[in-house]
Amino acid sequence: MLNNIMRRKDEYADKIVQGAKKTQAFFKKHHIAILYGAGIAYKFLLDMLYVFVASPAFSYAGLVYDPNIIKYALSFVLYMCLFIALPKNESSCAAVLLHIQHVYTVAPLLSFYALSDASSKYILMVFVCALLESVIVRRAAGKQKAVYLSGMKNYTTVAIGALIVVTLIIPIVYNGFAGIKVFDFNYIYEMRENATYPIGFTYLFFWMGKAIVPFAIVLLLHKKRYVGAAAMVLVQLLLYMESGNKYLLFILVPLLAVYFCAKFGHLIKLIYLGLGSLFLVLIPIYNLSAAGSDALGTKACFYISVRSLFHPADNKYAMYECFSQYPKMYYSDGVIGKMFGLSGIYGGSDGQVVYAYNGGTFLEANYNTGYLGESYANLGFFGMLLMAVLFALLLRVIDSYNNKKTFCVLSALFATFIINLNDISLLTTLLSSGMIVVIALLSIYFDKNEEDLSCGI
Amino acid sequence: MEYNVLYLVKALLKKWYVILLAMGVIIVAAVGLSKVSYKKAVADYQQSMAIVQSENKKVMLATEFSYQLDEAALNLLSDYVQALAPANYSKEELLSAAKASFNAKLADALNDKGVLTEVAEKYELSEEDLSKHLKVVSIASLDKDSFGVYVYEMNEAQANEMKDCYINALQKKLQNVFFSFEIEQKSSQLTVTDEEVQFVNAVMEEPAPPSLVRTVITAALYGFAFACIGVLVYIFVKENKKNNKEAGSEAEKETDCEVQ
Repeated sequence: MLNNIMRRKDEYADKIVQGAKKTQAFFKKHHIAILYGAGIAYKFLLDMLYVFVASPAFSYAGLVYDPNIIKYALSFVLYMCLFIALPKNESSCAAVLLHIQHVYTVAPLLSFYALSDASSKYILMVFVCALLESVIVRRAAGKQKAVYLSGMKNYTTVAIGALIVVTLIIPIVYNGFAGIKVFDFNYIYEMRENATYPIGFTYLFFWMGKAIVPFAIVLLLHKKRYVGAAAMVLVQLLLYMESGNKYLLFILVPLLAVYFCAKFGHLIKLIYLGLGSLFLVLIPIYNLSAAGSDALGTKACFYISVRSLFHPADNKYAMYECFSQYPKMYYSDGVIGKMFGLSGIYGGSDGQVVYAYNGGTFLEANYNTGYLGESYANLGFFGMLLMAVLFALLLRVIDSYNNKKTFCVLSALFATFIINLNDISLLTTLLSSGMIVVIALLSIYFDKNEEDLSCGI
Repeated sequence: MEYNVLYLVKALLKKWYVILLAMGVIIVAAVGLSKVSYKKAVADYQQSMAIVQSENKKVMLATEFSYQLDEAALNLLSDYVQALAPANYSKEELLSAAKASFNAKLADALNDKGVLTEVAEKYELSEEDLSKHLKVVSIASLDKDSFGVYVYEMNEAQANEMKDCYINALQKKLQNVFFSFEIEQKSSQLTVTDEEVQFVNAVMEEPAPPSLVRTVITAALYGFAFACIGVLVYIFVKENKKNNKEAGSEAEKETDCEVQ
């Protein structure tokens, strides 16, 4: 009986493996056709998501439906030009990250531009920046060498272990522990309002939640240490429960999804096909559950179509409108401003200024910027070009660690930062969100001479 | 390229003069840039404040007028009321009733079609459009005889002009109907309703002149960090080139051997 079950299990496993291999072979054989087909389908599905989900639900909040046929044609041409220019090498981490940016940041901006009759000037600036990034990343392929730091693995592992304990204890001491109540997303705003932390602790906390623990999760998964990986997922959940920061919870979805898709191979195709299929499911779900704003389908539609894709696009346009009319920030609010003692005329951050520009009370809340919006607010088109170059150079640095063994880990880890860049500036992502910490960890934990990834955790 | 941390620390210590030089450059750049940036910020601030100080900004003008009937007029009114009122009314009750009657008539006159038409004609506005710009409210009571004139969505000069135009039209109307009496402006309040001005006022603040000491210390700290990173990048690039050169010459040697 047991043998029979085991035999059947093996048979099913074989069937799954064979099916996956057949799919992989099919994807490989029709690489270009599937890639272009998925890319074009994604564009139309994204537009449909705006027309049938995002705009009907949130037209009052800026996602208006005011299509312009000429702009729609231009948006499609720009989308295809960028798609053609993007590197298509599925084993390059930088190429994958650029495609994630294309589907998550650039394509929603193009859809918003065409379907809400927005400014052509700004979309052309975004197009030039995205094109420049593709050119820089394409030129870099396979030429650069990575930096590895030897002899620090064990010290770093001990330090990370100690820091995880500290990071888990301090918020409980300061703010208590709300338990499963934090999974009610209305409660977390109240919780975050009352939260207090020691000076400088937020840096450590967000480095832990956005960089170090996700790094540990994928590295342990890659080493097939599933218990350790599950423990790190638990730590990540605890970090969310202590802070109420939704990003720390939702980051697990792209992190694990990109990791497992990368394992399958054909990650770029899967990104377009996966997200396109998700939109195809979301459109009827929203229309079936539109009766109540608390319905699960409505909430899912809100988080995916509005909060993740089209609100950031709308915010970037608001950034452009505000700072093309009023003086720019000239990096007065941030690291560069502090370094050079730069003066500014605004009493708050760029996001807070734009919130007031759109009728909100100044300093009460802020708009998420995204690096393409924030760089325009600081230095206009020149600032956008500057950040695009810096971003592309960072992708080159990340790609220098890329090989057959590290591809899954790198793609999963940095995909979360690309998602972050849709809401936050590049320098903030690099410093406050811990992108630089992850790059440092790569140089410590990745080993030039080892066959597989070394894992000191 | 693989490095030992101790090797990197030693390399940084070896290049201490480069780090000091880079710090110096960043400090000088910071001092210069902070001055230029301050001047630019002041110019931007003044330019933006020009919108706030502009005479064309939209305002809401709220003016309160009081009116007073003299004793002779009140007596005349009370005589008129007496003819209609019950016989047992005292003198005070008669005066009060006379005043109430007057206030009711005045309240009607405040929004009289003739008065409003005269104002609308002067500004070439329809009655509906005029109602967006002008609103008159009676605040009549026993101890407070007044009315408010509110002018919206106009600049200050236009708002005052419209208010005066209305008062003139009202007085002309009242002269034909009532006894002569004085209308006196009690108070006037100007509120800026211009969204652009409100935005500029809310988000902008006058830039403070940069402190030289603070700028130098901050630039030195950042300069140190960036100089260290710069030195490390320099070491990396230099050794990378060296390795490539060595690899190139070895490959050449191998090719020569094969040829021989």
